[in-house]
Amino acid sequence: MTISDMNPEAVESWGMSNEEIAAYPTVYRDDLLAGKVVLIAGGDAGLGRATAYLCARLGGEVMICGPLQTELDATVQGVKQHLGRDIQAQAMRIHQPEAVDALLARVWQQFGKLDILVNSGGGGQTPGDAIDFSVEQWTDVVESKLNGCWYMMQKAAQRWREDEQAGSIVNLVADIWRGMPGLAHSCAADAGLVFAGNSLAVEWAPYNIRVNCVSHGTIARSDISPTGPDNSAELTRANPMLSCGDVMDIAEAVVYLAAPSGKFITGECLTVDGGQKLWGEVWPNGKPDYFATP
Amino acid sequence: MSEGNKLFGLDDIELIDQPTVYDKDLFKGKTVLISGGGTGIGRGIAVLYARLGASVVICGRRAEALEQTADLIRDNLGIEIRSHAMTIRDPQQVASLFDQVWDEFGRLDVLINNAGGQFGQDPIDYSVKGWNAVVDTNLNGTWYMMQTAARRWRDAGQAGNIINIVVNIHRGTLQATHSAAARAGVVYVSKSVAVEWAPLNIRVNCISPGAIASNGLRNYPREAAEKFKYANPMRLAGNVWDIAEACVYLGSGAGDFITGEVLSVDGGYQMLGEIWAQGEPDYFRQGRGASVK
Repeated sequence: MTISDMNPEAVESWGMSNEEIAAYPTVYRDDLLAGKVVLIAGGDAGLGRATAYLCARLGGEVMICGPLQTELDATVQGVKQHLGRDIQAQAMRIHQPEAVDALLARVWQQFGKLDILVNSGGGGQTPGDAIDFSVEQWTDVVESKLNGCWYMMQKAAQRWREDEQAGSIVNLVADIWRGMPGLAHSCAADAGLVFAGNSLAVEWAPYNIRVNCVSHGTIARSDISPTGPDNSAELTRANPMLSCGDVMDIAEAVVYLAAPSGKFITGECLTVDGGQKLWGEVWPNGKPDYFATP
Repeated sequence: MSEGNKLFGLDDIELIDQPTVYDKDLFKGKTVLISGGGTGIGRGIAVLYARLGASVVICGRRAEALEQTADLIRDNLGIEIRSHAMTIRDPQQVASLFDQVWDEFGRLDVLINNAGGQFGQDPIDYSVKGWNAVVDTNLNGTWYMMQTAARRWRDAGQAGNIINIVVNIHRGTLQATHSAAARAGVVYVSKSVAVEWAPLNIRVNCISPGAIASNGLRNYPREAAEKFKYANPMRLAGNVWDIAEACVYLGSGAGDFITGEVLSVDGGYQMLGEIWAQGEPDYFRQGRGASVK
């Protein structure tokens, strides 16, 4: 689903506005990321955009990337308008390795280094019954999410190794822990990312590169959501808190892991889901009658 | 991260001066109860919460250790904290502790169950008494604290937040099986009540530390303790501040949407490394690839 498929009024009313994101009372001290360079894939939308706002507000030098120039421009302008900070943006797709090379070249050219890589990009999945997935539906998700984030991680790590600089990677994934009926492709890609990350956390420890994930449950976002605001009533039964998180819950989790608070954390997946992995159900495609409780 | 090389970690004055990622008034007006607050990780947690403006109450078995923490915070930060000598193994003493907290502050915002411990021994040689002591303190004692807090929060109509410090049990614990059993119990009771107590607005999470340089390591043979820092891919020990900042993260608004979670702060020990509480047995040191069955 894209934003154009949705009722804009419903979209507006669900999740935090850019203004609210900018004004959110954060737990962190306000110069926490001063002097740090942060690259956020998918920083033009949803969780990535909230992370971009927070990192900019905490003094970080921020570069965002995403597929759509218009969305990137809107985020750059929004950060300028609400926070008075300049951030950089590049339109590209992370599953194109040459585009990742060009992006990182620009980061190093502009800032001379990178401290934090946040992968919130990829995805674009539409929910569906797995039995009817086309080959392209499956491979598109695996390619854009798993492969795209892999190119970002590996290429950043190669530069960090070369520069003998420490690095910190945070990958955003969904709540995969009990499977994701209706989103089998996305679950596979995100699980792959979690366990690739765990492997890299060990292999790249000698380079002082930490690799962690934030697993998010149902989050109210004001823009694109595969499950959509129309399902928001249903979504509040997705966890024992009977509520959705907000985008700042995720942005603050990313900062916690990337900042010195996370300096002894690697290979960890921090789940921010209101307890969804223990109780609750999410059926983005509607709950089949078979599972109805008599 | 030079402190990673110091066996017993940050000293008291380093704790006081340690920079924090958090906003300085984050816990103003909030009350935080920390068990085991007299020593090691608990002392670090108490210092950080006090610095962030919380009303801090610590409890523990030894009045002297509690007083040292209180003195440290008073002398260096000019902040008074409360301390109560008691044991969490006695439900009556737990009830009276909560009476005193409510009498004085009328509320509790965060309960940190940090008290606990174990001794290293080959499990085949545990006495019944030794086993029971570890299970009683770590599992039963923590449970009394959790349940008592939840009842008070329910009766007062207040939201609550419980953080249990456990040990990293994901791959078992070596020469500390009693602790694995007790801590696994704490982790899974936490997950269960995270669901059951969600209607009461009580969040329940755990923090799972790996090798942490602290005075707690004095309980182990020095030769064994010196090897703990190799027990993760980062090849260093964390410090009590890493755990204290994790406690603040989960205890603050940043953790509003987190419940039933176990946050590992372990340098990647979940994936790689070995902690032998009493030292690595010869079998594992010598036996790799040596025989074919």
